[in-house]
Amino acid sequence: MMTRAQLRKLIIDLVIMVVLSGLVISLGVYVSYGKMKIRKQEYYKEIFSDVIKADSYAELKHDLVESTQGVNHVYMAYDKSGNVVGYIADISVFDNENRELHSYVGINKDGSTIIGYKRVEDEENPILYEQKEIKMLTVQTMGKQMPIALSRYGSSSDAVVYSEYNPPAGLKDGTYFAQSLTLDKKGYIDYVEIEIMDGRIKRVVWDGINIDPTTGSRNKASLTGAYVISGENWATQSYNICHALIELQDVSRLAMKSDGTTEIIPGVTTDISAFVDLASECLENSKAGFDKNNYLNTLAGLIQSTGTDPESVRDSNGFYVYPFEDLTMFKKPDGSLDLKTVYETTLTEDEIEDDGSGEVTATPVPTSGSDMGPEDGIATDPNSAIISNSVDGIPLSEVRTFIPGVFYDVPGSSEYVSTMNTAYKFFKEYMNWMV
Amino acid sequence: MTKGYFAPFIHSEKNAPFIYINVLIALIPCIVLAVVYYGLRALILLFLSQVLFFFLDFVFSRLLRPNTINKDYLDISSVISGTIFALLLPPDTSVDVVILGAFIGSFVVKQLFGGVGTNLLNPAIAARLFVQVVVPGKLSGFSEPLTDFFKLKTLIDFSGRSAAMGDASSVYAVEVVAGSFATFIGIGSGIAIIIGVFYLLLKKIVRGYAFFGYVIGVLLMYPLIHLTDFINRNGLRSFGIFILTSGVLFFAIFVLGDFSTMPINPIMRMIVAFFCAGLTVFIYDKVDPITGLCAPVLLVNIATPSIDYYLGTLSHKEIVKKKAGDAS
Amino acid sequence: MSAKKYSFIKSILPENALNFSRRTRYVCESMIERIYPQKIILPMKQHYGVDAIPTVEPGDEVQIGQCVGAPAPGAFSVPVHSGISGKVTEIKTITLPNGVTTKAIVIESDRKRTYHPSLRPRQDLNVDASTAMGIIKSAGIVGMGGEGIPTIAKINRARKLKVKELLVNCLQSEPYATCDLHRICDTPDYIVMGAVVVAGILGVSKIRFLISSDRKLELGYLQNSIDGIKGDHPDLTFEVLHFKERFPQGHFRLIARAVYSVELNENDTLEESVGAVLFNCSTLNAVWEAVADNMPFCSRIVSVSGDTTDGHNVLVPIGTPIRDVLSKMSPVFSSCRIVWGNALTGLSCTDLDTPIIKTTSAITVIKMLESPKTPCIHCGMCYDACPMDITPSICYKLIDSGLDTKAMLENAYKCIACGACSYVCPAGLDLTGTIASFAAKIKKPSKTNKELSNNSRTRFTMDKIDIGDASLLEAYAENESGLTEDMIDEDTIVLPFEGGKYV
Repeated sequence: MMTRAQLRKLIIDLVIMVVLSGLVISLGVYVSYGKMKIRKQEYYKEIFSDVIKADSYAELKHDLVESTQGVNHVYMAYDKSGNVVGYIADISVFDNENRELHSYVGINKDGSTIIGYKRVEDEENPILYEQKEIKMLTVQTMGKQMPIALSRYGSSSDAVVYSEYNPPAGLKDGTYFAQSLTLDKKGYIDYVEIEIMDGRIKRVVWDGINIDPTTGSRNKASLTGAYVISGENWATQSYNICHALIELQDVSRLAMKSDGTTEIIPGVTTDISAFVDLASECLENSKAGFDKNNYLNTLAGLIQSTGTDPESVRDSNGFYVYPFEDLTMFKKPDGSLDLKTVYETTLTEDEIEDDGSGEVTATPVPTSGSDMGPEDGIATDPNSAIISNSVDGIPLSEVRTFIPGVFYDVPGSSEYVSTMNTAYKFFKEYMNWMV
Repeated sequence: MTKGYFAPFIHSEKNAPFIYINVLIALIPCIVLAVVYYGLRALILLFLSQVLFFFLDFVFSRLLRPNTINKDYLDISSVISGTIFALLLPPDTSVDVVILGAFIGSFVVKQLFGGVGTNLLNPAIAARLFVQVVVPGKLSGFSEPLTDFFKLKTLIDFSGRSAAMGDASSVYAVEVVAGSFATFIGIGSGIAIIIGVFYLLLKKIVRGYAFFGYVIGVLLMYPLIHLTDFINRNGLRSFGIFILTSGVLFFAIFVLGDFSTMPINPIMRMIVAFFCAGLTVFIYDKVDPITGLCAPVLLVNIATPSIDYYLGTLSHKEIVKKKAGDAS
Repeated sequence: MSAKKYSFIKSILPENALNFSRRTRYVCESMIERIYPQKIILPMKQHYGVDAIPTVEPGDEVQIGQCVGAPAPGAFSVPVHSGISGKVTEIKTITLPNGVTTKAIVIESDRKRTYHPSLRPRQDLNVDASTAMGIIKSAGIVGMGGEGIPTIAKINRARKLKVKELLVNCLQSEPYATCDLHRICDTPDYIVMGAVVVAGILGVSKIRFLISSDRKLELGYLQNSIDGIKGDHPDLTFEVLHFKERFPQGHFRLIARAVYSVELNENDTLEESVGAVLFNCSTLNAVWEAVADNMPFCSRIVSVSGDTTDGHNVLVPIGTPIRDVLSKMSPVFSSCRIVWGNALTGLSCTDLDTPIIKTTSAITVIKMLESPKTPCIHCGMCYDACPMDITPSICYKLIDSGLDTKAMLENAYKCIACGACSYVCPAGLDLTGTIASFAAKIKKPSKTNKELSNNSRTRFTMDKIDIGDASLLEAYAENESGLTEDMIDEDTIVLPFEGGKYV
């Protein structure tokens, strides 16, 4: 195929090329390796200095890094003399909707105590995890030992108590409902549904139904991007305000300002006056024992009185989607609207069943947080108090720190906790391995 | 009188195996770079890819065309295909991707179309684009160079790994030149490719038409397409980085320098290479880098037979015109 | 001397043209080596035309310069002269490697150098045109660039067409062949004077020497010689055209393209198209030898070279067997191939008794090299090498699959069989053989002189591959009958060498 001369030429070329490329590449490596190290350290410093301040960082190569779920990388932080200052774990935790909480967790050199935390900002899905909440959580955990659980796990007596606020007196158990009788600017009828148990507010739903049946609820519309407001999306804000009410137990504590906004609830910037009005009505109804069925029946009667068949405006969820044109008949002397008064005054022959449960059709619930399992650090179903004796797969007995979390952002808090516990799991194994 | 021997009795030393081996030698800087930067796993990927491409070519050519094939001839061009394929892989690629690519490249693209010289598409590039489209998840394991020389686990990690490609714009200039950032195994270093370019062009192994056409295409089209960057005066740096790190130089010399899939006419070679470069620059930001580089090449490959064919027809028209002119 | 460098235009990168100057070991500084063979074999047909008729019988004594073969009367034929003195041993029929079968006179040397008494320098050089033409005719001069056309025929033709310019082809770009270049170094004055004579015969006033600018030494010799001679000939303009070193630059079509920017079609000639006539420098040297020294064309310089040996240029009597020529070289191994001619367009030859003939410019000894036969890899190198802008690989495929019409459209008929495409083909395809024989096949045979054209075709027949007229030779077939008549008309002077009688 080839003559000897050709082969000789090829071999000479081959050797020359190998030597030449070897030289060039070693030169390249020699020149660029230092630069690469500097760049790497610069990069590490840039991203890690908020977590653990150190003079140099290096990635930890260990099989455990790959085998531990949720741990992407682990870095070691060194001081000037080369001693380990601590570890930085790069951890990703996903909620049920596959939203990621990506964070760097700084751990001291024993692998036990949280000494730094930084949320990685580049996520596409930053809905639930605002820097503000993260800060609150960070303050709660800084310097604490891992693992961590939310404080409701701390003791069984404390389990169902979200806060030390007391509810207004005289709330009767049951499901209460109120809806606005007019459309808002975007064609929604707001409604609030509150569930009372043991005299305390257990569950709050605030949503709006569109007059156009093809348009989904305001909650859904905001999640799909059809309903846009400033600040957080409406679903999140609704969720936050509802949880704030559960936490605070009283509408008056929401501290609504005259312009309809509140400052004490982070992540809620929208006008909450409708919510406040309807929630107040619900609580009034609760005090009066005027439950959801009664409310809806009364509403149906009123709609009937305007000459419209109530069934014709009833939607698939059982809501009456009917804006009243003339509201004078509902007006109380002080000008406020109250369907309960109407009910009381018009209560004649149609006293229907008021056993308070049965007929209520399925109500939409806020999208987030509804199906979190105990593995996520919290039991979100308010009816089930404490159902797990472990958090993130770690027995409660092992838990060293209980934190209150952020009351209105339970899923976020629990993800944060999960992050810490993931780090704990890794370092537990790693320290054992070190020994 | 000896029968069967015709003039010319001397032959240029550049016969096919010689040319192919020279191309392989020109690829050595990239191979050395790959092994130095990404360690044994790069070496194994390269070797496996070369062996598979060669072996499958060898076997299928003899199975599909037992009568016409010259059985003594070892087709070294398939080794080149294997090398180019492997050099375009991310470092943390598992071996199953290589096996799939080799099968597509040597059997489907090359042998089903008639073997060496008659293949429509460049086997390495078609195979690379195929695996990119079919198993993109397995082709995203970019790890930093010079980190772990003996790491082999990724070769059999069939679930696919994910590590982002290095951002060349954030590294030092020397690193850009040396290719010392997380990218494909063999195309990151401009300097290594340029050594190969000089080798091939100075030894006249590969004619420069396609190379220069492609490079001119990039040099002209990139500023045109990124005009706003240039107006804002930050385009020059990213331009340099694009040329050195995106692999356009590698494609210009080793992919468009391929014989079988490019037009014979040198001017047409230049034109299609120019077109290919323009298309690459145009779509590079919109798709993943491999698609951006490979798809225009395959497009040009497909157009090649028609170009070769119609050039003759065009010259025929000239003859007819001339004859008509003579007659009148 | 930063004159314009002429060349045929090929592609956009000039490096694509073949340049064998580096490959060719050139030994101009050395003396011309001479060979006095023990025996010579003189074929009666060494040119493009009709056989000469032997004028000697076995047993006859002959002397150097003696005519042993007289031209056939009224035919396109030239005489043959002996280059050695000795005895005719036999007249036998031989077949040359080019397929020509002809009678050959075998002369044994008497180990003396007895010159024919007529071989004395001419006293009166003021010969008129017809005398000079007679001298050229009877000296048996044929084109030495390989075409083998009787020089007298060419002169007649050029006179008839009233050409304006005389081109002297000093370009020798074939691999390993340097005989013409050596001739320039050896006797540049003879070449220039030969050109002056031919210019005088043709009545042209402009002589252009075509020479490669890479050949600095030859250029210098030639320029010196011209400078010395041009003062004696104020009516003539001398011009040296510098060419780039390329193969196959010496072909008349490529010269036409380079110098006159004229594309010659298959039947066009330089004389008709641009009014110029092209002579090889060695031919002109022979012309002046005949005119001035009264020396018939009975010896020539042959390059003996190749990749296995040193280069030699030997001055040998015509008819010297290859065996004697090769004796000058380092031992020839059996693994080597001996080529009668140059390595790109020559013919393989195994019989060491094959004689050197008037058109043999080189004997090339090269290693047998089997280049790998692979399918076409579509590299396009043949396109780059082809001087005629054919795409040989495509033509090859088309001819191979019988698409002759399409091959015609691809200009396959333009092939000049230079061998460049086969030389460069990495796949080792027989491009030249396939395309050249195709080109020969489609070329129409001459109507006016069928016998000759058939004859000419057989001359280049080898191993069933018929490359016909499509070789490095100028086709004169269709004008030959006319020429012959002209020749007869003018050929009334006494042949000075005929029968050894000096007039």
